[in-house]
Amino acid sequence: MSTIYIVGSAVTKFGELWDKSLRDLIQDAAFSAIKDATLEPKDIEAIFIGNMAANQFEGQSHLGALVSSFFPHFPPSMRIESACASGSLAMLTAENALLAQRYNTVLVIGAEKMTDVDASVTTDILAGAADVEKEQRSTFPGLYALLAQAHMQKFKTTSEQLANVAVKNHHNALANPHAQFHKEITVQDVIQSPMVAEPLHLLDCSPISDGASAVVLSTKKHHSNIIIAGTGHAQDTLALADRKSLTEFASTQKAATQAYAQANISAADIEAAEMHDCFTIAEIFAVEDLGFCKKGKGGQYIQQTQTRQELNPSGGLKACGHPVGATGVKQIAYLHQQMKLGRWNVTLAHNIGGSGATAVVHILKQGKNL
Amino acid sequence: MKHAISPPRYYRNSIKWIQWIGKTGKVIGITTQQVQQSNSTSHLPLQIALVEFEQAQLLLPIALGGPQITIGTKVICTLRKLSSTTENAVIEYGLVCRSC
Amino acid sequence: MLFSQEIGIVGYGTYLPPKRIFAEEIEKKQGKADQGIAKSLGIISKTVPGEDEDAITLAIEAGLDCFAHFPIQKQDISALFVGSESHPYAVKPSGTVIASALGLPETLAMADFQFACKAGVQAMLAATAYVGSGMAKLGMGIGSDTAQAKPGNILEFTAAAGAACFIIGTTNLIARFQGAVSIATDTPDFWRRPGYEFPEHAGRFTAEPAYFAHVKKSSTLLLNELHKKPSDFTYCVFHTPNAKFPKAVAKQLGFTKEQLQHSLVVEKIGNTYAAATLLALTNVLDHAKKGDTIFVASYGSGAGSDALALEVLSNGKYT
Repeated sequence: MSTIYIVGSAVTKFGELWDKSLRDLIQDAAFSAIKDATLEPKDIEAIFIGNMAANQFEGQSHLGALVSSFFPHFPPSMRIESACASGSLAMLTAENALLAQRYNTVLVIGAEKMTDVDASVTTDILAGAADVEKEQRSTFPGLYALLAQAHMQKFKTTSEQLANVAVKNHHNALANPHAQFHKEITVQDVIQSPMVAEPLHLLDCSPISDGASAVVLSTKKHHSNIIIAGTGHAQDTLALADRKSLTEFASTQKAATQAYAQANISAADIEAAEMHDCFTIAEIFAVEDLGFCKKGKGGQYIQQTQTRQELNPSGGLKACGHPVGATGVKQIAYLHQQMKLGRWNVTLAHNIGGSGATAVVHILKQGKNL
Repeated sequence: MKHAISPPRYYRNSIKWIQWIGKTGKVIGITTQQVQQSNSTSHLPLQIALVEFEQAQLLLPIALGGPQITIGTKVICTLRKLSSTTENAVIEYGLVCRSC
Repeated sequence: MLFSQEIGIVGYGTYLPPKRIFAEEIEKKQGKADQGIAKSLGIISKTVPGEDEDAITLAIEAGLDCFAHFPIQKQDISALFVGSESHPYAVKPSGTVIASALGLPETLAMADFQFACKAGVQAMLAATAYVGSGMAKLGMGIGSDTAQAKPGNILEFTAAAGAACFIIGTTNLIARFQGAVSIATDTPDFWRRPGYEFPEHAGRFTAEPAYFAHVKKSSTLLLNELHKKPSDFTYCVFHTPNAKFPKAVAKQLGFTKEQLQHSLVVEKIGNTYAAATLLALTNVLDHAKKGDTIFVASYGSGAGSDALALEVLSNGKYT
């Protein structure tokens, strides 16, 4: 089986980007990643773009064709959607095309433009990631609030432990120039912020953001020694009411098991993890379901001064921002960039769709650990 | 503002109501959503509850104005207006729960 | 008209929205505190429907209440009539939504009625006619309303929300109908044109020539047909636009305060319009014993009245 190299990456600024359109963001990320790879646009043989809802945010469907038209040679191109996991599924789709030897060098983009519409419209659009028949009046904060409650009831996880996730990620984001927020917050700030859906406060929730990211993947080395060493993709019921458990994401557990097996490592080998903290409780679920700590101990684990691995060093979704379709690609792009600087050799990216219905895990390796 | 429900979709929903209306269950999870979808019937916070019925679990909005519901409360499935619109559209009724 | 066959009530159900508003609050908001309006109307409080409720959802709840307390074979219900002056649709029946939600069979004669506050009783009587003619084994009549009043208007004190549902049959009766008389005249005391949110009323014209004239006429006609006097009845129910009118018409007809006692639910729940007379009747039935007799007269603006006499065949839940 071919080795897949990450040969270039880019992340735009995430935030409320009033003067950037979706097309601007896509082109910024795409051409910056190609430049980072020291390649030319014409070297891209195919494009895979992860995006949840451009058709609803701005009426633009057929994103594959749109992106292809930015290139002089109109490479084959497709849009992949899986709600907040659109980005990582675009990565997987690209990887499968490379492994099938259909292409050698491809571009993966994740992009979302969310701030042109009123927040109430965004709430409506994002609700589409839930089961619209079985969860008709639910919003995403409401669904994750139920998960948080269940975890707090069963494992005595506290609001302070939830808040600590946001505090940590805001602190981490200070070192990330692309992050939406560069502001330290305290546990009190989080707990005193307005309630959105109890027990989740405003500062327990990731923001609405614009942004894009891109990664160039190739079966040829192109001076890179960072590879995709393992992947996992798993699903669970779309509706929370149909889940076997409300205190874990079986989808994450299965995806992680697949990825660790393929990469021939265990959770203990991970040096840094970009995880899907759409709400603070989601990062607590993640550290448990990825095997970094025992089930139920996630809140305590994250509270430690030093954990075995760096958790959401980019600032996560909470502080870096969460342009929905961009996140899964941004996680990998960020890790790639930091690994090139020599910060880590074995990293993990974890991306979730909806309230845990889709989970994708990527393991990246570099250098002599290949 | 979200568009009103389409008539065929309303019809497909309504023929399933009788499977649940009148059934009782127990609340196993509950939260109050301060932010609603744009076509909510009320500006007031809406509670949603995960209810364990004999046949299955359902996630249901809680009917407005009734007595307080907490985890463990016995509830009955009934019908309320689910959304509000100024359009001359079919009214969207749907399943909710209330204490009983 | 006297009923020649055994026909009557097989079951009933009620629903009131949980929220209440007190008359003093309304007086304050109208800037009319200390004018004694609530006292003169005899109203303490009224029901307020939730923003997710309407006449259809209230009716469904009344139906659920009925099925929870009486052993009704739903598949035998083949007539459903729904009376309201706040049907959610101007065109599309409330009854089909109600039938679907309650699991009534598709083989159903169904129509919505409007006749102001008497639409519910009329719906029950139409169901009775279907059963009596043999066109239905069981018939269901519902009165349901989420009444509205113009802000600042006196009707704000009384316009309330509620629903009552009656199942009519010929066997396993809990109350047997003895006779009924309905009258209708073109008397424009209260109305609402399409496209308008609130009704209008004709002030003092709503009393003597409207409510009192029609209730007294239908009642007198029925009493004469039955060859009975008011004192022959255990209880009486007169439509309750407020608490004052039913007390006054009862006295004028020769009924006593004691006979009225269980029918004045209006004091706490307000005027539930098409459900009002039916809800008052359910409270009387809840308190009645086997052998008691009940005299009922509805009133609907525009205008008309149904008088109905019943004999109770089984004890109510409070006896």
